[in-house]
Amino acid sequence: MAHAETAHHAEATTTGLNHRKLLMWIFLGSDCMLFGALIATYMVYRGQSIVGPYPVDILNIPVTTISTFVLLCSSFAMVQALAATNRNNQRGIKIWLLATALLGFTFLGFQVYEFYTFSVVEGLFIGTNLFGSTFFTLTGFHGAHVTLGVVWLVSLFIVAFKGRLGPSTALDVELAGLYWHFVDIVWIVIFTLVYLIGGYDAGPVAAGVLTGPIPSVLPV
Amino acid sequence: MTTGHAQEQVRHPTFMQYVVVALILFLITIVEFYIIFPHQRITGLPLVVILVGLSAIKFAIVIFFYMHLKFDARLLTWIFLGGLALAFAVGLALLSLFGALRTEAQPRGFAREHRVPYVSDHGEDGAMEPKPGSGSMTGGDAEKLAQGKAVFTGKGTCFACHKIQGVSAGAVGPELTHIGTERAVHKAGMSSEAYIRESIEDPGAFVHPGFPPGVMPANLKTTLTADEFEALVAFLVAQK
Ligand code: HEC
Repeated sequence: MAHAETAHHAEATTTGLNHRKLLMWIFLGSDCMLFGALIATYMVYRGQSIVGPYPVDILNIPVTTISTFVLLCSSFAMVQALAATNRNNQRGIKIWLLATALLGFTFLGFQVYEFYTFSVVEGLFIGTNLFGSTFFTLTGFHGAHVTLGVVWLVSLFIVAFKGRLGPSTALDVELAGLYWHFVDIVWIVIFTLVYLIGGYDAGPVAAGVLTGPIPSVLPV
Repeated sequence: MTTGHAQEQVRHPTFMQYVVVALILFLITIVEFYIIFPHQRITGLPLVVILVGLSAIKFAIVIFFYMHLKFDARLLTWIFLGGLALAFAVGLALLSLFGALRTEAQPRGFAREHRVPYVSDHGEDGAMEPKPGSGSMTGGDAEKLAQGKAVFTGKGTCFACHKIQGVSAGAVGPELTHIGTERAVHKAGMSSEAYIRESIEDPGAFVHPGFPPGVMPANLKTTLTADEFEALVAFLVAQK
């Protein structure tokens, strides 16, 4: 690889920071805004659906809590993969990268199960009501991020399998890790707002905290 | 820690530190789950404040330890927190623009008047349970429902106060046409059967908004035999 020194070696840039790492953080900062907008939209339309199913009818909080654990575990596996890379522990790199990818894949499996029961079994589609529209858009974008992360991890695993990952290329693993942890923190926020706080939301009668009157732009 | 120039070996947490961090994240998640399952142990604003606080702690732990911002260049922290702050600002602007930040429950006339109760094909809690009239019902069930209907429109006197479309026209109490699915609106987490039992045994336990308490007689159950009461409940649960 190009730089034989350590990955964290200072480079001749005006900030003193590696360009790739800087770019990754700028991307993550801007991705915050994407999810910020999607989450805010969910909160705005929370409790405003006039037909069911409502969250209380279909959200399965125990199952989603388990999938949240799975994602937390995958973040732990990810930091171990990076640590193994820095220590040039070839076996560790492969094991932890594979574990991270598999846990991410498991999380996706939970999401597929959830989407399937919500739509085919319970009849909540993206066009059914405001809950369906905002819920599927929000969790769908998150799921797409996880999918991309899994693809990234699997390709890193292949590189690792060829023995090409080590201290000199630790940045490759670190950047994937940053992205992966970001996906995890977005889920922490979604899980809290949609499942923990909004999990018992019912129809429009049960108005509560952080919900408001129907905006006047609606045709009455 | 480095302030922007030569970033020699950035210090990373040790394996044990990572394990501790993971355990803290797990623990917080378990606490969150306990707070809201199987029912919300806290409600209203305190619930929101506590849960948002807990998830903010998890959020911070992940970005500062797993994403090692704590050990990395300051500039990266500012870039990320800058994006996060903008996201917050956009979110708050949207929420206040749509009046969604009020802390009291607001009556929402349009939505309430137009709401259509949700009718699941799967009964309570996902258990497969045939809808009345869906063909797969056994003869005994049909008999029970007929008996319940007879109690409702006769001995039980319920019909005098409650309307059920196609059954009765009483207007003193709330309409019960969809009572089998409406409990979610009144008491989240309670099954419709339990809610209906409670409503008859103890009408004051939850008073339907907009109706006076103390009007529905509290002794109705004592006027019925156990059999009649069960049939009545089954009949009401089937009103979806
Ligand atoms: C004298 C009039 C009257 C009679 C008779 C009466 N009810 Fe009621 N019922 C009311 C009123 C008023 C309410 C609303 C106040 C409340 O929730 O306690 C109510 C509430 C209810 C509710 C809760 C509805 C909801 O949506 O919250 C149920 C269920 C119910 N009644 C069932 C029955 C049944 C079954 C009978 C017959 C055994 C019956 N009632 C007889 C007046 C009556």
